[in-house]
Amino acid sequence: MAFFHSLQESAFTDWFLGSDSIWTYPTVLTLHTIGMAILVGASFVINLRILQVAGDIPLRRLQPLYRFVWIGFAINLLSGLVLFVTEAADRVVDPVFYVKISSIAVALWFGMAVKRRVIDPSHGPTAAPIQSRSLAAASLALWTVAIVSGRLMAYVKK
Amino acid sequence: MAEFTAWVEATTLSKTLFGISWLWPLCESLHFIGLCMLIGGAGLLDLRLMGMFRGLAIRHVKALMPWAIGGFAINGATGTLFLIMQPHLYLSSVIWWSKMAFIVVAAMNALFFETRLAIPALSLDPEADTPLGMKVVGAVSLFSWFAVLYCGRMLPYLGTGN
Amino acid sequence: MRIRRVGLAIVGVALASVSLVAHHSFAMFDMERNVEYSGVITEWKWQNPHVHFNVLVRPAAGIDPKTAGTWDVEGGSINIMSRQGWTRASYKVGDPIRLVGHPMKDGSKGISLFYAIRPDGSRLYHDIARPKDDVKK
Repeated sequence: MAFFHSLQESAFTDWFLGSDSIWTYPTVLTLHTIGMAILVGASFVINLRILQVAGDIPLRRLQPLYRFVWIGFAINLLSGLVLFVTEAADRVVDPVFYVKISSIAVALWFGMAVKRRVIDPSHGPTAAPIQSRSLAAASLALWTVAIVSGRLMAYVKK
Repeated sequence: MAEFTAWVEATTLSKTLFGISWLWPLCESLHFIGLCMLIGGAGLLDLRLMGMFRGLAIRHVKALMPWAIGGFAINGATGTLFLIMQPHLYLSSVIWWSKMAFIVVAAMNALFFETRLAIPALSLDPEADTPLGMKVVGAVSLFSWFAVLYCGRMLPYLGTGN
Repeated sequence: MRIRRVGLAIVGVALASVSLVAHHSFAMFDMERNVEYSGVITEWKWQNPHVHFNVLVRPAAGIDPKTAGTWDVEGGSINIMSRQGWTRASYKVGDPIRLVGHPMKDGSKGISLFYAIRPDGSRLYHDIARPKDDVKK
């Protein structure tokens, strides 16, 4: 716990949140929103197609979308880490934070499971079987939870 | 503008809506979900028009448009609610008006695509590179939507007025 | 991955998130009320995303007893407040301050800053919002 307090009360946190470099926080926050748009946007497209409510894109054609999933995730992992450091002690005891992080982790895991099952195989099916559709539906729900809990974090702050 | 803003905020509708404590956070969450749907769907089409995802027929990508439009509709609705509840945060802000301007650019660009380029796009050989006109339309769209996102997110920092 | 496990996972996550939203109350400021507070700064946080400072209002003659206590005053981003004339050095711990703000509806000691009143009587606004009688033409 003392470790998280030392992060939250560090010189870096003071500089990032409050010094004359007033653009540090808004820039990182906006990058986090951009990363979310890319990560969740790509994931929505993949999952909607798997659920067969977004046309007939041949499943293997969805593969390049995963590049954007990881680009978005990388942006948000980095920006998220920076934001976390500045609130480390408050967030490490915040249940909403854990809901967000675990939703993201499971959604990414399900996304990779779908990729292995129906997108990567070169002679894959044209329609996703029920297990993959369930994973896709669950992913949509989880990304929604991630977004809502992320927004909620702004209201739970001390 | 200041009088109009004051008038709106004095209405029963504005006060009632803003008085529902969970409505504003709910609208924010929906606004984020809507933007992901919009950028996901429109983004894929824009990247395809710019020449990425070669081999993917454009008619397949267009199947995502209803979802992109749905996301836009969610954001139009939640955006209208924000305007009704707290117009003073927006109506005097250069950044907010810039956001609206970028939305108009994106919409006009989309209209141009639908009326002039949709037919050639749909009959394009999926393996062929896209013509320059389509690349420009795709790039303008992608840039505009991210500019909308930027303006929106930076509003509490770049300025709600003055 | 069995369908049932996936289904249970979704239900479990959904319930957890719903209960969190329901558990958290979005405590609100009463934006219709402008109340004046006169006290001393006991904590000063000049930072993004919101400037926060604590004000201790001691009971005294001429002080509305309902304003007595220690209040958490919330402002806006340092970007927006700077534009209204605020700086990191505007106030510090120990400084006296007079301010007008909107208190919490539920009676808890939180205030949404409207404006501070400088010793010369001029105002330091939080943002562009002005009192109704101050509406610029």
